[in-house]
Amino acid sequence: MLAIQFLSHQWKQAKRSSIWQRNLAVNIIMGFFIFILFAEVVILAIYVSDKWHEIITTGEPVSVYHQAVAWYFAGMFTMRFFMQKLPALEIRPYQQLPIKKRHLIHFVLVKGVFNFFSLISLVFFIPFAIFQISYFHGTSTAWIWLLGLLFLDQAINLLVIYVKKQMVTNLKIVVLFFAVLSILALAEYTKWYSFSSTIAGFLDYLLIHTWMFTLLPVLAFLLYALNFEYLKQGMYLESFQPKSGREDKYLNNQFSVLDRIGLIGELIALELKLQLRNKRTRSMLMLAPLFLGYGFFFYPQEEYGPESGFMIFIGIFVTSILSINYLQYSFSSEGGHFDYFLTLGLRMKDYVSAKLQLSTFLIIASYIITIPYIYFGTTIFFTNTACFLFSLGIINPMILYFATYNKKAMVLTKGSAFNYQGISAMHFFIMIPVFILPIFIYLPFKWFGNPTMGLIVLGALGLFGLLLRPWFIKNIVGNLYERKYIMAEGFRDKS
Amino acid sequence: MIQINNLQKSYNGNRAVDIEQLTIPAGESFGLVGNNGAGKTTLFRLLLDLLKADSGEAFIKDQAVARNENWKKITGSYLDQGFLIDFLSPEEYFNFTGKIKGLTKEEIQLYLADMEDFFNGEVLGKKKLIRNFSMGNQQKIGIAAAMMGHPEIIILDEPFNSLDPSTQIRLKQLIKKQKANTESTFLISSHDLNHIAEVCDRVVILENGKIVHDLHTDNDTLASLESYFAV
Repeated sequence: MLAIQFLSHQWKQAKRSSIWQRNLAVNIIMGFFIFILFAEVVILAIYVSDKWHEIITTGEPVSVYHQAVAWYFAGMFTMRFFMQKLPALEIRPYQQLPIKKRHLIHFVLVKGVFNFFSLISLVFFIPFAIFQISYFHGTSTAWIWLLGLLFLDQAINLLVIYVKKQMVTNLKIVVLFFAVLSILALAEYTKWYSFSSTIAGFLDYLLIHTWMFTLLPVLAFLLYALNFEYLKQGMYLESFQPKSGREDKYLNNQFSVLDRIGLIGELIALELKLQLRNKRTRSMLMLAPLFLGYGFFFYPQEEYGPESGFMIFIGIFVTSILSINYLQYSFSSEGGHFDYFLTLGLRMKDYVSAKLQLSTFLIIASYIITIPYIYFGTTIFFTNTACFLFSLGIINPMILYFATYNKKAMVLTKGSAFNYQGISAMHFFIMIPVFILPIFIYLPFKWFGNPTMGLIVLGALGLFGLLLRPWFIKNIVGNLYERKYIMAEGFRDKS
Repeated sequence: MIQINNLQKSYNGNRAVDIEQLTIPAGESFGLVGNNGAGKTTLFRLLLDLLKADSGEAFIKDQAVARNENWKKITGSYLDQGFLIDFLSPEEYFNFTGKIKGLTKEEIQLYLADMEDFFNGEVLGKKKLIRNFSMGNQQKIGIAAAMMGHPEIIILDEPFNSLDPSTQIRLKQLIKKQKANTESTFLISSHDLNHIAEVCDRVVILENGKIVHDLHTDNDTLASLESYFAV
């Protein structure tokens, strides 16, 4: 009964979250993509399982599959570790009610079973159990195999929950994880030690001695008990208090160099502190190097010639994605103190200029970091240079202008993975003109046989935009005045 | 100093603020009382140009607040936590606020030294971000920032909330001292009738956005406030 009450509270929490109510368009788009992706994965899983014995020509099909399972679990452990939220029930409101502690803990742990990654495991294992295991080992063994692997998946889930409760995710752990995985992969590749064969050998053995499969549920229940005990020990109010001591280290970053450029410097320093001292912005920053590496995927491929429109897309992407990411949310991430800025007597022009200067710095830094792409040819270098100027002069102020249409405050204290709070359909639609516009400018020149001229025009437009910066600032400030009541009202509502 | 003409603001058809005429002369300390939903915070937000009025205007020094920004230089305010920058330390927050208000580093230091008594040693030098302070200490930080640079107008929404009893008394002393030294105009809302009757020269009762009583404080004020709110 109690569990049903909890579930109904959770359901209400999810249903009444402002994400559903205000972002219908984004939900439809996301829902559509997720549905398509999921359908594709299911069909692929069924197809591959059906044809597995034909695909695998060397070795026992089931044994080879077990090797894949080993890597699947290694990857799943990593994915769950970094992307899965810890199952949690906001227990504070329930703690003073006459509810037994163990009911709360059981609820939290059982709820942790039902998540996206567990669903992936179903898709991964069920077709193979139907098409292959039951063919080779009979239906009843297939059932036992399936249940065993699902229990193993949950054991890994519980292990992740336990480990994650013990430590805080930080860069060192990320590096450690990838180091261990890389060593395993390298050992496998050089045939020095095969991690997958070890696991596969174990699973093959279980298939022969079917009763041994009981080990897997036992393992899962042991880990469940471990988590249960741990949560029971730790379930007191003080463990929910923010750990303030750890944040002292931020106080060393004062960016006092920026003092010298007056008020705008002061505002830039404030922006930097905002980016570095909040969990969400920090985790977005950690992803940034990945974006700059996009070129490596596309430049080596032959089908996109160095003069294709697609290269313009990549050029715009690598030079401006960091600044787009920053500017799009630059007002909404200040939602928590927007009222203060409005009453403080801050000059809007300074406020807007500070944002543009910081994003200009980001674009210049991205350009310098991506100069080594010249390795893939000088054409790419010239393309990126033209795109860099275009980003600087046109895209930069354009994004900030559109950012004033954002009226949802961003909650910065939660991590960024799978976190769509504060993101609206706007953020997806804005990307379309940003990337299409430069390609449209460039393509006609290319069709008339003069792509170089296209690059020159892009770059020249960018320089022209730089000259027009005061005009852009004036317009952004004007729009800000126009929309400040709507923005402030939206930002005050922090659900 | 402050003038309000026919100011109206509704939410979903409900009148939140509906004030025909209100004048607050310079140097007055103006108290605002009323039950929840009476429109106190809405009125302050309208005065600070954080909300767009449906009709009418508010003026500070004869200039409409929605049409220019000169009033911001002479007005300090603290309504709620939306006025705190929670990822800064108190020192960083005061320095930022002081610089925007045009104070020098020395003036900021001097001001903070002056406030040390009000902070009761619980705010400065703690090496903590504002978001990790207790509600009461956050309230102290916000009030101190609002009064920085001795502005001509100081607007505080329920400043006595979540302050401990000693700090409530210190805040009353601080307001009286500030009034005596600089003749600042104070606008204060509160649910505590005792405090409001003590620090304010004039108390206005709001009900459903309308002014229902406008009292100049004397010995009977507290009694008449109490009888108004009696159930």
